[in-house]
Amino acid sequence: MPVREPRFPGAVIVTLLIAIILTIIPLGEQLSFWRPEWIALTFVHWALIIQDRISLLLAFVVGLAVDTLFGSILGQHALGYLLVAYLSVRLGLRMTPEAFLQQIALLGAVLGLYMLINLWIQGVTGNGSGGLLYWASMFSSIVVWPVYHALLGYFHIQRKAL
Amino acid sequence: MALVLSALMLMAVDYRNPDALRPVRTAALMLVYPLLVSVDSPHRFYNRTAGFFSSQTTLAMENAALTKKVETLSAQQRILGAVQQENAHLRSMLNAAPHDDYTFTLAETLEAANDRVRGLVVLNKGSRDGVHESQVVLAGENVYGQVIEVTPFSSKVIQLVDRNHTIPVRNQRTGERALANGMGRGQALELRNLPGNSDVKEGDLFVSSGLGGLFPPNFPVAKVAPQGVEFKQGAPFATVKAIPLVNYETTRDVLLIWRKEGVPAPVVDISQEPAPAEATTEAEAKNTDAKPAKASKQEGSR
Repeated sequence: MPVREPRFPGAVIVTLLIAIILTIIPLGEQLSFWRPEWIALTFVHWALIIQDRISLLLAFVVGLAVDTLFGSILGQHALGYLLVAYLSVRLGLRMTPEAFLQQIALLGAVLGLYMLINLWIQGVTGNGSGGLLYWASMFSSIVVWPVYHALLGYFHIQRKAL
Repeated sequence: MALVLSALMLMAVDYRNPDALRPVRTAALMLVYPLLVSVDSPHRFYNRTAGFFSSQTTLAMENAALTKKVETLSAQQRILGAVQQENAHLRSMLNAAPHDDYTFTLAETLEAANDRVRGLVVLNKGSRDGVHESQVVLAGENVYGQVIEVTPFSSKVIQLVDRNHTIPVRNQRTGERALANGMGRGQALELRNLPGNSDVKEGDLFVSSGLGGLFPPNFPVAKVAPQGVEFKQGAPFATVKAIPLVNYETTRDVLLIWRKEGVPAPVVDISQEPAPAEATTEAEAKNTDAKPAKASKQEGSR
């Protein structure tokens, strides 16, 4: 089986920075509901590429950064990204591009759990948004996933196993 | 597993006691500040270059309009000065505490997306510029919000529309007081404790009442929305929806205000009532009308 590695040291961090920037780029009020969960998608991507070499600590730190940016309770997104990274490593072998629909379904499950936890924590802390529009970003994430997955492919290379 | 536990613990601590994690928040905000600036920079760059390339006729027109405005404002300022003097004198006769004085500085919000519900923004001024916590922020002449977190270079501001924010207000027409609660971004403020027989109407302007001592009084806050007043049968209070006068989606330039201290707090005045009261009455007897408050006090103490 071929081994896939980041193209250069810190490639994971670079992609995460890009994802964070995509997350905080201002969109209109209506459009922002449809903003994909870029950071979660990036973690899923790297979980599929480098599997268990992904750093959960990194997920935690990025989560804290996002919590600060969004003013949510500290640890909310940290927990979310931890779960996303962990679950997609565990489910990684089933999320193959050969079984495209299965991949999409599993991605939907992972993102759904992530957003459900976010919604729950927001509800407990009194910042719940309410309304079905909350789930809009899940669908846009799934729609954008194949393209994003392919584009992020630039950041890793494939080696033949020795 | 350990990380999941620590995330849960962080949340628990942050929920129960937000002050405990303040240093962590401040440090994290300082760390992500470069990201915010980098996202904001294209917008800023565009604004600068757009100004540079704007045509001369536009500039000339703008200049003419501004000159006109300065003329009218300076005329108004003159009248205001006289009124202020008179007011100070009247207040000295009443022995009332003088009005608070304010100074202003301009700051800019960093253009970056936020949580969809909460109303939090980051400003490009921090403790280095003298910003402090629970400082009041205005946009134009309207109340914008207050500072909740300060780092050396930036500060975080909570807007009036945030769910965790409440501001004491007063109906400008009737003088009725109420509390305006934020209901989330893009939503109107809600005034919950107006009595059921209240005379509030569509289009009423609510200004800050100054109760609580944080927000300066008489700055516009919100206007009652069309069909925003609802009297429910049997409910003790009316629910009123009021649209904030600040457009939070487009406003970028805000004003930070500092209250000038050196004004005796009203509570202190009461404890020292007898002596100054006599002094000022004496002073009034001596003084002619033209003298402002401070002069009269100095004379009285002599």
